[in-house]
Amino acid sequence: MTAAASAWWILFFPLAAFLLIPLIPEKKRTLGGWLACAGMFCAFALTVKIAWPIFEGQPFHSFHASIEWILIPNLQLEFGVLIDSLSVLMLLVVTGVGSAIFYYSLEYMAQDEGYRRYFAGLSLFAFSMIGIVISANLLQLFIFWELVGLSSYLLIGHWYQKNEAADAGKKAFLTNRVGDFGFLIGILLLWTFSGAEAARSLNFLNLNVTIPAFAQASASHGIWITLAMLLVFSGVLGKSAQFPLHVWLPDAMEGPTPVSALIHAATMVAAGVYLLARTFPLFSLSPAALEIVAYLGGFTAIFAATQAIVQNDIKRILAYSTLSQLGYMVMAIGLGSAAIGMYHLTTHAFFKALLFLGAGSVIHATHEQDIWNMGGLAKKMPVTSVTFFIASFALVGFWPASGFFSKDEILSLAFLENKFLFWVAAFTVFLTALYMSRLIVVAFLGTSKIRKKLHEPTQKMLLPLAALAVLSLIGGFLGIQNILSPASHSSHETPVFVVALATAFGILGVLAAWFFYRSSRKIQNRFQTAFAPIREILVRKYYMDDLYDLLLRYIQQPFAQFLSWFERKVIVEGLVNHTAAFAAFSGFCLRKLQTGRIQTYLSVFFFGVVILVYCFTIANLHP
Amino acid sequence: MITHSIVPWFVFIPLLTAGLILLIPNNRSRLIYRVSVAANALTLFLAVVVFLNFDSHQSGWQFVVHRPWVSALGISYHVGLDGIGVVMVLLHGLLSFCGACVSRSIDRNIKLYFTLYSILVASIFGVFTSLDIFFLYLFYEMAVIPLYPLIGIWGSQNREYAAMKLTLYISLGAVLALVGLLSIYLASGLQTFDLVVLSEQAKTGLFSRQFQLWCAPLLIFGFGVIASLWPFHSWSPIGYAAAPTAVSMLHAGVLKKLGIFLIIRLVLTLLPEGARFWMPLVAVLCIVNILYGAWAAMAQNDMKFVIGFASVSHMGYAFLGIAALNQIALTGTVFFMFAHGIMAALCFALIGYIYDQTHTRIIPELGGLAKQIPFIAVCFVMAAFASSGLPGFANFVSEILIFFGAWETYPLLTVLAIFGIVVTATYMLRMVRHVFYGAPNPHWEKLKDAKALMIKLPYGLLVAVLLVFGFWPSFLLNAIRPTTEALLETHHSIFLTQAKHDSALSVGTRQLSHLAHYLYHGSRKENA
Repeated sequence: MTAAASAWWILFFPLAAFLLIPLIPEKKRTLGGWLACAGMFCAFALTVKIAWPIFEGQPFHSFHASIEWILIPNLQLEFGVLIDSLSVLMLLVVTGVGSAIFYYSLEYMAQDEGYRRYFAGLSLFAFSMIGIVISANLLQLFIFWELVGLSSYLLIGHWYQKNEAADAGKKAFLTNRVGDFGFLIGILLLWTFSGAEAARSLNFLNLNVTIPAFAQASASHGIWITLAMLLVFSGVLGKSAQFPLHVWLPDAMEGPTPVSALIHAATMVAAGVYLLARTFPLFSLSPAALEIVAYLGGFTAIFAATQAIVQNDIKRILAYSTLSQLGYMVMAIGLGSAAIGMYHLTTHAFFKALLFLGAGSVIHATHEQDIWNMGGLAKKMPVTSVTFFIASFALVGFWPASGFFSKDEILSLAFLENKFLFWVAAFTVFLTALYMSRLIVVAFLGTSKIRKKLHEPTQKMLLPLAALAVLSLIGGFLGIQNILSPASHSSHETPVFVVALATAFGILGVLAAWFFYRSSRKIQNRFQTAFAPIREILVRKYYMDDLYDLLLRYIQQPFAQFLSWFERKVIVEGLVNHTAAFAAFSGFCLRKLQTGRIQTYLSVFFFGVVILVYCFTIANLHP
Repeated sequence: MITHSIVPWFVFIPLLTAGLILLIPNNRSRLIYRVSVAANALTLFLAVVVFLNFDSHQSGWQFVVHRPWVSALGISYHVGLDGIGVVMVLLHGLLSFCGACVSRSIDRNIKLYFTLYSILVASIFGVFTSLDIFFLYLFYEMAVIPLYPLIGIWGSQNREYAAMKLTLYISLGAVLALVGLLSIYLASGLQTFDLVVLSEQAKTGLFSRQFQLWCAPLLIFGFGVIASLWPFHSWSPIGYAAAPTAVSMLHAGVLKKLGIFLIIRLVLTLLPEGARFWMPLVAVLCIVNILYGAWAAMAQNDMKFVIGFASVSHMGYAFLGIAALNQIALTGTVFFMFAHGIMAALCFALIGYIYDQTHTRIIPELGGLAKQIPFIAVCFVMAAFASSGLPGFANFVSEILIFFGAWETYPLLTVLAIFGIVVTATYMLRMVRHVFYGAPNPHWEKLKDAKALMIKLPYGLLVAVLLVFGFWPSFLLNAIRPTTEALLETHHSIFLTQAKHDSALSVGTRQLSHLAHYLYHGSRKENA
């Protein structure tokens, strides 16, 4: 099998699983789960095969293959695969972490009513996500981009009978649509810039040549490039849940926990970061656009981290943490290094998926999501707890866990490029340590508030936990950062100051949480009343949800009602019915002309004669 | 060659079926139903045969049958298909078959119903295949006639008002168009109604610019009425809400497309300069269509009204594709007519199924139906996503083509049009959310899902068609492309020679500014 063929097969294995699962009868439902797993494992195996040269330390030869899809004069759209080191890295993350989560789901969803629907949705997601990664052109990427939105909608709304889940799915899809509105216009702009009318193409390899040429053609083109790239970035805002389109991600936690792990932590939300990395050659043409990207990323990082501190739902804490970490990645790319952003994406995929799977394991055993109702889990579920601790360790960024290395790269990049963002990012480390330690102290340590006996799950759930724990721990030593930028890595040394500061902030956060949440209830209460206004703002999520609600309720809905009213009253009753009434009225008048009564006709005739006689005789006598 | 004289049969088979049904006693209702479904299956089969045999490498007319009829007036029976016609025939074949299938719920006067239905089907096929303006108009008017009783007798709420309104509206449009068509006949001076002859001559500048400028709006707005161009759209939601399921399907699916189809076939071919002058105005109106229809849909509570306004909104994209006057957008429009026809019919068919079971279409009264009727729910969710232009469905391909094409001519209007798909997703998902999702309502516990294969068939078929052409659009595009290319070539040759082009919009704004100027300065003078 050629490399291009294996790339196609990576895409088609999950698709085949998606198509076959609905055909399986309900009685043999476990077969559906295994089918989905098989599709994912095969995709992973093929990815490893393609990536083998990288593991052997050889340089990777990228390749590109495509077939015609739409062929109209002046518009040629292709369907293709573009496999370079960037897509290989992302494929490894998607299929690798995906395999672990698929396998985990076998047990987690075993009792669920919609078991086959779940695995069909998961396979559809895998298909679309792999599609994003291997896309060779921007429109193809947009197609799969929309399809992951669909699968995310279906999986968030998996328990569609729950109102919250049904609403959350809708919200996620529509928020993404708003971002994609800009994205599509950005694509159209780039298409216009990509050359003469007949030679336009949206292929990445082509854009990387034509758009710089366009930018150099005239000084005034810079503003257009900036506009186009910011529009593309609006798609990233939606998919990677950056401020101000972040509101859907916390609500998306209504979906099953493995879905949150795979889609809303490790892969789909990272697709925006992948898009930034993929179009980085274009973004780098516009320093203004990159700067906005960096500031929005940095802002989202600290903005989300503050909200994570006051959440009580274990999954929502992790969701805000995801927002914050995505902010780091976006910021890294905005600061000028796609490789570092992708590095953090990879390690984040390991430890955040692990955190969610650990939370899933807890939820599976306790049927409880509020951390204040848990407590003392460490003793009852030791394996889950240990993996959870490792992941938290990596998330905060302590040596030697994987997060330490990727976060340090980001921090030292910020230190060199933009001091303000560096301090924002460093302070976010403190917040991260704070909210994760709070979660661990409250839920895993202390005395248990759960009466019933708890069990660790079976190997189907523990094995993925263990595998991801190993990756989270040693991910920094695997040379992931060398896949994308073998040369540039050694170009700048990590300043010792940065490492020391980040670690200090981390330890400070842990200590703060430790002393505060282990202290007596009285101190906690006093503290909380002292900071009640701030707490209120954080609990209400900076009123962002309320703001959007207001917009929808007081602007969109009245506008729709007004148009509906306009339609009923003005167009139908006013114009149409009055036209009809006018027709009826003229008919009423004209009807008098034909009454059928001989007297009427005679009198009209008589008057007519009188008028005619007058005209011809009397009027003519006196001209 | 069997396909040689196949096209006339598209009209004859439904007409013969109408006659055959009249011979069956009214109490044999199952038989009438089966005969009708079988006849429509046959025309669908023929439509597929024609589509597969269509030579997509040439742009001219194919499967032509030509018989002189009233030679004194230049009327002849002349039928044939080009790349646009063959797509529309396939669409109509599919929808008339599915419409017949879902008509099993008609419970009174079945004989009359299917007779009228067959006449409706025959006349629509007639419009798509006629190459003679006389027959074209004849079939167009013939399609309106059965609509009135079909809605008035078998419709639901408000049916008489709706039937009356719909018929009057479309007739009014038809009268406008008739004036236009007759003036084309007279102005040509060729003594012929033959479209092929006329369009050949039109390429060489048969009609003066002055004539084209006043004749084109008669046809654009006359046929625009049936395609629900704003502000002539208000018959459409009310009409669909009242009509029986199959009629809503055919009406939203194909009848509306007649307007677009005829504008392409008559205005773009015969009156290129008129089109050039009036299309910018149409482009503005169609953006109103898109956004106005979408927001109005959001405020509706009746499912059929939502889809009715949605189809008003969606026709805006078709008009935008025409107005752009370039090949990408025009090809997209033809594709869009096909995709939207299938999608709209699917929506109405599914709403009809739900209404038959629950006897309500009011969204707040429903809820949680996905549990009871999963098959219908899955189909509806797919239709909703197709409607919102999700990739994978044919609708996405067509909308993308229209956007890429229109972007060349009207970039700002295209941005507004793209915003329309955000709003579309909002109201479609809102409907899915409140009808199918949420806590199950105990009131609807006894609903029956579509289980038997024959009941599932129409819905499954329509979904499958959307997906197939969504993944492999070239099946359709290959057939459409040469025709649209040839059609716009005449445009290019004309406009290359003509540097300055006015449009209705620019002339209108200039006149308005003159007026304002005059009023302002006039009043100033008086004051002085």
